[in-house]
Amino acid sequence: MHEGHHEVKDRVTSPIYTFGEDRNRMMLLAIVVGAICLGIGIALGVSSGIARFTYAYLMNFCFFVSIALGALFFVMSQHLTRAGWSASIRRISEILAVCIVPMGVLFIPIVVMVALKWGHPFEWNNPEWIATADDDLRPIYEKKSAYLNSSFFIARNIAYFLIWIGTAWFLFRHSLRQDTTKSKELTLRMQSRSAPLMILFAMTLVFCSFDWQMSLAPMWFSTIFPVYFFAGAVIGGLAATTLTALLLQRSGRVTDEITVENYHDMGKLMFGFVVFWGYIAFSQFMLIWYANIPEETFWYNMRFKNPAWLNISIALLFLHLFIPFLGIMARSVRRSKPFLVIACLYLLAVHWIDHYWIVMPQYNYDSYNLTTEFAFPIVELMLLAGFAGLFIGSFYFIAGNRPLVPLGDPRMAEALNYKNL
Amino acid sequence: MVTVDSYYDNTFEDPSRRAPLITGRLDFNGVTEQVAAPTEARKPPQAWYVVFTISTLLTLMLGGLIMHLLLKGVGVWGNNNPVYWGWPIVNFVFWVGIGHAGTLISAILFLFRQHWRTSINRAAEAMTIFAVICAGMFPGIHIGRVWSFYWLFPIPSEHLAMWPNFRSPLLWDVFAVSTYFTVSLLFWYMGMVPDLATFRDRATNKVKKLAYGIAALGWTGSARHWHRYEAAYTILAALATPLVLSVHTIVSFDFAISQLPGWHTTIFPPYFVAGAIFSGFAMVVTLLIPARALFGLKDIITVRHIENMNKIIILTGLIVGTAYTIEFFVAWYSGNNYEGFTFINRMMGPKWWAYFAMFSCNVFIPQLFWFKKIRTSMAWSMVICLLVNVGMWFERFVIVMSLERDFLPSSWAYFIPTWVDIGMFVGSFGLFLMLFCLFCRYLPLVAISEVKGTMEHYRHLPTGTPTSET
Repeated sequence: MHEGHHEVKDRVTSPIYTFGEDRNRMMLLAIVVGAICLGIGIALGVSSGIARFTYAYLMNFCFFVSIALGALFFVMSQHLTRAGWSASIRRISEILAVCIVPMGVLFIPIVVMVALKWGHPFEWNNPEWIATADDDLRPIYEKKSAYLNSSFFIARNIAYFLIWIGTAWFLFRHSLRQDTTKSKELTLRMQSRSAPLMILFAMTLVFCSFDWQMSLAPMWFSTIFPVYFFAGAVIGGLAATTLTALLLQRSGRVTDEITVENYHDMGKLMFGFVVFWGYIAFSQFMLIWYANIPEETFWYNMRFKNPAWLNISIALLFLHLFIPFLGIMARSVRRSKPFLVIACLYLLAVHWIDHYWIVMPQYNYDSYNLTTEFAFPIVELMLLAGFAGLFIGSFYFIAGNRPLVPLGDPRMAEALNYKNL
Repeated sequence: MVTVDSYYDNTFEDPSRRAPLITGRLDFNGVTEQVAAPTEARKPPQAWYVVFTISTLLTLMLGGLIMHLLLKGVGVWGNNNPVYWGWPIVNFVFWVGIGHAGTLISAILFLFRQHWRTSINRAAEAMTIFAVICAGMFPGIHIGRVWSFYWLFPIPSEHLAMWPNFRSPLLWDVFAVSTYFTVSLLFWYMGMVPDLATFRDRATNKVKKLAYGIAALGWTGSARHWHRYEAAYTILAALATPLVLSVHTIVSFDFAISQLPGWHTTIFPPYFVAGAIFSGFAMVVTLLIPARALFGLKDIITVRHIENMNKIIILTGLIVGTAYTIEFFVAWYSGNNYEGFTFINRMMGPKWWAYFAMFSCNVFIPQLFWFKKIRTSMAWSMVICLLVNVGMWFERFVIVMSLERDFLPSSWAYFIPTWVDIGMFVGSFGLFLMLFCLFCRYLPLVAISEVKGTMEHYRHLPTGTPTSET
């Protein structure tokens, strides 16, 4: 903390802080591998029934959108809190947030599914849906169709994407402009705009979680559900940011700027949000289990009655809460780069399982016997690989030859010099 | 060290440097002098006597009313069938909520390295403890047979001929609130030890020397003491952080585990916690604006501190507003007629004015803080924060008063509080303010040692700033 103890750094010194010539090769590789996996996933999915494919596509889509949204939240929160420590790592989150643009393209198939009124993955989208209702429930179905209908769904989802793309792009462009101008005004503008943008972000996140995941069981409702989606998304965004930073440094880039102190703090935030996720997941489960109202409990029963799903449900508690809780609690772990690579990959994996657990039991759900089938997630995993390829490819595309650290951030000196005490 | 003048505006926005958190050209010694002044002055300011006298009288009234309650029974309250939970639970939740800011500031903001917390954490923690005392009183006297309070504890059944009901969230409250109280008290007291030692060393008479000496636990300020102190502080902060969330989560369970429309909704835990932080910060602002003026602490609790707190108030207010919106939307979306009725009834039923007060005070009025002029104005901050507290009291009132119209329309009636209800609520403010007055007079209002720790952090002031090097 005191001058004189160590040299004060005030500018970017890494020999390489862009992707340079590797970028095109890596981008092509990622996109080609992604496209092939996506193709196999589609083929496998369609051969095991188009319905399963729609669910598997939706769940992977949600997973990658949540990562981009988590990164976007991180960028905005850092501006709002005038954070200095994170300046060096923020550019990675900014790029990840802009990956919401390709996710918007990948949303088109879902728009098509909804527009064609397939009835899967969204049961309410089936033109026969209201007709399938029991007589005494029909008024509720009719009421809900005011919100759950294809045209309103498409309209509001386009609005979500416009807001997210606009926000992510605004923050990325301003940050890039600052690389050359070094203008402090840009930081102030990003800070002041982040406040209203955060409100829009919160509202769109709330309703996208209702639309994409809660409405899969159209009769089910839980007011905490958006918070659950949010908690997972932030873990995904933080883990993806940290993992990207670690891998960039392994390839010899931005070696001087992102320090072990940054990793330590990212680790703390991930730890905090793991606990927060556990808190929200517990609150939702506890309240529904305790009140034991059939209108709400069926959502959990769907995940408990089949032994395979029950095992996944219980495993999720350990995988997503207890194991990472103990795993990244220690300071030494959060300051060890090799271990942090594993921790980030692990958190992304369990975050994926979480989405799998939310979305897939809806597929093949037998509403008469309240049971659901379980099938080995080969389609889902192939689609994961496909989406991952396209996501990574777009990361390279967006990053281009641009600096991977915000060169002109006025708080950069603070980020380069601070120490965890 | 660089210091700046009192009239220096430290609310500026400049991303290339950190604003000074201490003004008035204060150096380390100056901070000690200023914080010690209120306790070392021969007489406190006149306003202190006025507030202390009134609040002590109100506390006596509270004591009298409790005696009245014990002698007559809970019938002296407005509680009825079906509103078994009237003002006592409203006041309980209100005070517990107030008691959230202290530990949030001292634990969570500490973990987030928010240096500005050091000027306000001590007073906020003290306020937390006093608020939790007020909170704990209400369920305590609400149990009817107060002399059987120990039934709440898990005492083996052969002595009671009964077991406490561990499945009742009211019992969880006992554990949650008492744990929170214990940890908050420990945290507050432990953080105060170095400052108590300072007071001991400065004491001019024997009584003070002895009292502060005992409280300071033999603190000498050795490197070893500091080392242990800081390790313990970090551990306590980490332990207190989940407590900030857990207490109000358990309080929200009181309502949410039921099957009642308007009460059983899964967003209650995080929404209650956000509301608690919201009201807690509003109370800190309400107390510190007069305190900083009265005890000459304007250079330590600066406008920037107040502004930062106002920003947290706007954030948590928006979270609460979002939760209201989600609740309303899902009440409709669920298609549940009872849920829908409860919300329409809250908004347009006989107690529409309470809903209106809640919504406008909690959601609309704090939006004024978007304007920098308003959030840096002491008068505006005071008014808005008072209104936030009004709104947060009404929030709990609105929730509890859903009971007024239950499933059986023949039992519907308009709930009216009695004079005892009102007297006890006013009396609890008396108790709270009396304790706070005593704290201001006898204990360090600001964490002296922590403030000094942050004074090194700002260095790069622009040229032309009225400063002095020391």
